[in-house]
Amino acid sequence: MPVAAVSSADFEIPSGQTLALVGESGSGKSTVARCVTRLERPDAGQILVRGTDIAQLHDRDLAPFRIGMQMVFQDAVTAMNPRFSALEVIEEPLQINDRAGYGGRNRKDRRDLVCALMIEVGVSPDWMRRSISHFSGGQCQRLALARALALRPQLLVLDEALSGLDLSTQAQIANLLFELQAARSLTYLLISHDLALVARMADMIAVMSEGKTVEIGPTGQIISSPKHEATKRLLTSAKTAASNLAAITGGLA
Amino acid sequence: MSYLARRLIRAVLLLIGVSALCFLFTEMAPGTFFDEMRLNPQISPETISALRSHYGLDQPLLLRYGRWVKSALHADFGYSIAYNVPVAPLLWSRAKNTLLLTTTALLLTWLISVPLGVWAASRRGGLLDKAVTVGSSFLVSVPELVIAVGLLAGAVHWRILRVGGMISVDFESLSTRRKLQDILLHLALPALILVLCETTVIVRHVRASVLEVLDAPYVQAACGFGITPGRVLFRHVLPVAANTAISLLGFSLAGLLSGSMLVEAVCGWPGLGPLMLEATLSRDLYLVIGGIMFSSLFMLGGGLIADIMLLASDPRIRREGSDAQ
Repeated sequence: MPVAAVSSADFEIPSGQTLALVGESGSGKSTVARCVTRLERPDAGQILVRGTDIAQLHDRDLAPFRIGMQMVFQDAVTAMNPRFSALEVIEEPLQINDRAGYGGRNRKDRRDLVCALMIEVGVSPDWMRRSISHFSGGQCQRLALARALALRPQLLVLDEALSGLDLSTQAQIANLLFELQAARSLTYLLISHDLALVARMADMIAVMSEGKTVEIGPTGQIISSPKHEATKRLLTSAKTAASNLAAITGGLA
Repeated sequence: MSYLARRLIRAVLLLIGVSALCFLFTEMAPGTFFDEMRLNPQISPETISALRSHYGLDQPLLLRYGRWVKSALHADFGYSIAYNVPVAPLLWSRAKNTLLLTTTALLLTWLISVPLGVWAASRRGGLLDKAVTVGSSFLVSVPELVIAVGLLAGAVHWRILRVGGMISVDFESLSTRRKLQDILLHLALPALILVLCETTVIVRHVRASVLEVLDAPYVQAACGFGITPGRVLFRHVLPVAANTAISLLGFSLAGLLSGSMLVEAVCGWPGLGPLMLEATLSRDLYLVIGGIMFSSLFMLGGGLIADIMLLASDPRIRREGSDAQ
């Protein structure tokens, strides 16, 4: 029996800003992300990109919109073909969209572009011939970002892109995301269950629970005066985690 | 290169181990080739012991093994007691027939099962996919023998193919073209049985490996930048499917000499299978050992060829190999 993972999700992302979509696991965040990037076709509703509804577009008409919004996945290591080198991974979107006029027409152009992208995300371009399986988790996430940026998108959907990394790597990637947003005036849809992280990065927060957006507002407002039960629960757990961490570091000192 | 050298050393060690075990087990097995002669009152015990010493069977096991290894290094695997000829040429004359049968079957199997597996997987849940799944489950669960006998009965009943043996009685009187046709008609039935049995297994593996790639996060990610189905197939799916296929090909090559024994026996194909069966039953010592060594050589050779092909096709193995140096 088909079950609707998401029944109502309403939000708007102002261009150049970061909207965080938070919620417990199973609340439908990732489904929303997959619908926004049209990896899945929503059964109903509208997805407006600069005034055009892309919710029901077919593949051919969708192509120009696809290029404008790229997704970065939680597990960067499996999101890249382990048989490819860094160069092959990053140039793949360029090769595919060659005819659309993006990226390099020839090998050398593409190589130069990949080189620039790798420098931008902070991985040495000397390593571009290395197999993906030889990079660490944090480096893979940087390479995944480089691949997502290759087509010069306006919107990046970061589906738990910072989860599963250790704290210092997480902080480095978060800083990288800030820099990229400033340099390329990117819009982020940040999907996370970690309110503490989100509070640092997002301009706006939308809270999801059981397939619905239950609360949406500027970050400060959501953190300081949460209205919905689900938001309060998330905040409490974030605080507990933080105080646990403080207790541990206190014990260490 | 050091990887290949290591493989070769391991292969030689394995061959020594196999031959030693062969000697040990054939010695431990009850009965000898001369048991039946002993029951015959017309053959005197002196004749039998003379024969035993003629074939060197009265010598201690270790000495016999040592001598055998020494001559095996010169491609001489001893004498067959029953046929009274050297083992190696005898084995080779029959192995040629087996290879004709199994190579034909192998080629057909791969030509059918790889495209079929990829096609079924890329149209998951479709009519063809269901047909492949149901058909292969059915054929896998039916024993090889039943398939063989069933096809044999059909062939006899409808008189489509030649049944039994490899050539017709009047083979020598035929023209070259007719000779070829005759062999092909005889070959068709045992080859068909082998193809049916092998395809069911390989098609499932190919299908599973293709499905795994299609579900992989990196293919999903590629959909995000608008990859075409054709590119997914050639850039992501086929290299991985090729890996599975090559690994399986190693097994198939390894089974070239030993895998068709049953089919050969049922169809009366004059290959290695019936010869080995006969030799084992009559305790024709060196023929049995020679046959096993032949099969082991093929097994190792097949594995080695598959490894070399994998090394050539998968950059990861290549890089790991060079890192290890």
